[in-house]
Amino acid sequence: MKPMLVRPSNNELRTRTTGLLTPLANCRLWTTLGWLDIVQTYRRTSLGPWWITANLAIFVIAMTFVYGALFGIPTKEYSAYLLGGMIAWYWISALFAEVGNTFLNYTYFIKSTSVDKAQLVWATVFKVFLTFAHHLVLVVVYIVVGVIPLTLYTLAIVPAVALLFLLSIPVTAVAAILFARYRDLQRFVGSAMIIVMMITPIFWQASMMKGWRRAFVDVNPVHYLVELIRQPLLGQPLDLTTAAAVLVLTVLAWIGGSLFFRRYQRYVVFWV
Amino acid sequence: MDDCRIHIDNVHLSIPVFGPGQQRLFRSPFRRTSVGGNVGVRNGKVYVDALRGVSFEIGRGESLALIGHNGAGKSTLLRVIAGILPPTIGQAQVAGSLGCLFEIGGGMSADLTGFECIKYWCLINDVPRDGWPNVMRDVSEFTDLDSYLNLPIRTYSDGMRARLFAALATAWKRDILLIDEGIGAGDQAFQEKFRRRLEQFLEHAGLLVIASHSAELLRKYCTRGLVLVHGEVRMIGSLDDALSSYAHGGGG
Repeated sequence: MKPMLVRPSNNELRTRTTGLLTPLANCRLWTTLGWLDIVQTYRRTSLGPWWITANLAIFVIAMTFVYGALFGIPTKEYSAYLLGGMIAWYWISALFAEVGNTFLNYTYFIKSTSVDKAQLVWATVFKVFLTFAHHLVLVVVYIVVGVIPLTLYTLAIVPAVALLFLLSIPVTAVAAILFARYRDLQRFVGSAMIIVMMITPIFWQASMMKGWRRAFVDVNPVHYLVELIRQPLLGQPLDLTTAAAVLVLTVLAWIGGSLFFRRYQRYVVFWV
Repeated sequence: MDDCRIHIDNVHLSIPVFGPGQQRLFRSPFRRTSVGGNVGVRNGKVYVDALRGVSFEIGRGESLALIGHNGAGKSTLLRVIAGILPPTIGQAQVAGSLGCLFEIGGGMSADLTGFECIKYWCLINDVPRDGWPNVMRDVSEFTDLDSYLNLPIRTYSDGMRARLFAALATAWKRDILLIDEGIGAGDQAFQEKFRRRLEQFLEHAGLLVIASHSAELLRKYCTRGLVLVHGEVRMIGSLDDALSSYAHGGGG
């Protein structure tokens, strides 16, 4: 006997295989999830998320004295450069530190409610954004004491952050699924991040690299991401190559990321 | 209001099993796994066949009891209906809004306060913003938790927690209610309250599915029964028939 098929109603199957972009229309859930997660992480500390900012400040100050002298760059200039680079880098490293928890943190949710997984992806990126926002206080301090000039170019930080946020969504989606399935990745990426940080112009300047070693600068996608945030923070004009490179990366990531996410999000429940 | 119905059509579900250390290069604890029953190996991967060819259909005003031994697939079936687990083969079609009462705690962090849990729950379940105060009032009246709602749920007793989540599952108007055990908790007075609430719910011609081992509990709420044995439907029919079939089958 052929089984009768019921015509799917508009909410046919509860398994939500939504697109990656849907949370944009429903901001309340992922912003709240992200916010609550930060609140909970730091609930019983006195400084809260400012701890990360404090770490960053101490790191930049210490490094300025050591590396500024090593490279022979004036303290003021090097300190600003390092701060801008580190703030951008913290976005990337925080994202990859968090990405493994995107689904694991919400295991019970995933197993007991039909929560939209795209919401969890957006919540993770939002968390990284919130931490980033804390770091901006350091930039304000630098501007006030006159280490960084405040120019019209500074305004470019708004579209720059928006673009980085957009790029982070599909990257997080893919990485979160892979990290949930293959638990080795978290360990591997954790140590790889340090290497990436060292070979990317964050402590050193791009202009220091000559010859074939320029490749560490020119074909390093992380370099463009760092530049995208660093240039506006330092009040410098955003150069076109950087903006174009990040735009291309974003488009590619969205194409690949949404396909991947559509295909594999339904299996996440088995992997968490 | 459109129709409210659950239609499960030849649903198979294989759950891949990952164990600690399974993916270590030189050690595979599953190499010695005894295969049989619901556990199978395909392409060197271990699967549990939790559901095998389950089909049934129920509509508005009906209440179905899922009966079966431990591991028969009752909870799994509920999660397929809720859309949490995707069927490997077959289709699960559900029309109508869903309320679920699965794990007590429902994924809430123990550090959240009672009120925060309610808000969280409203968010996850797409309750419109102007409905939130209603839910809060309803839940706090129904549970009698009063000032406890301002404390983290970590400080609650098991019974209090069960009350909170039972209230939440039924707080917002739903067409379909799925319950996985769990409602056994709570004291006598609360049990009585919850029973009245479920009866009200059924009078509104909702649809109820309960998985439980307690015949007494099932008799209170359900009219139909479905017996699961090792992931397969042994029979579906009136509750009494189902219960006696289960009893005679010796639990599979």
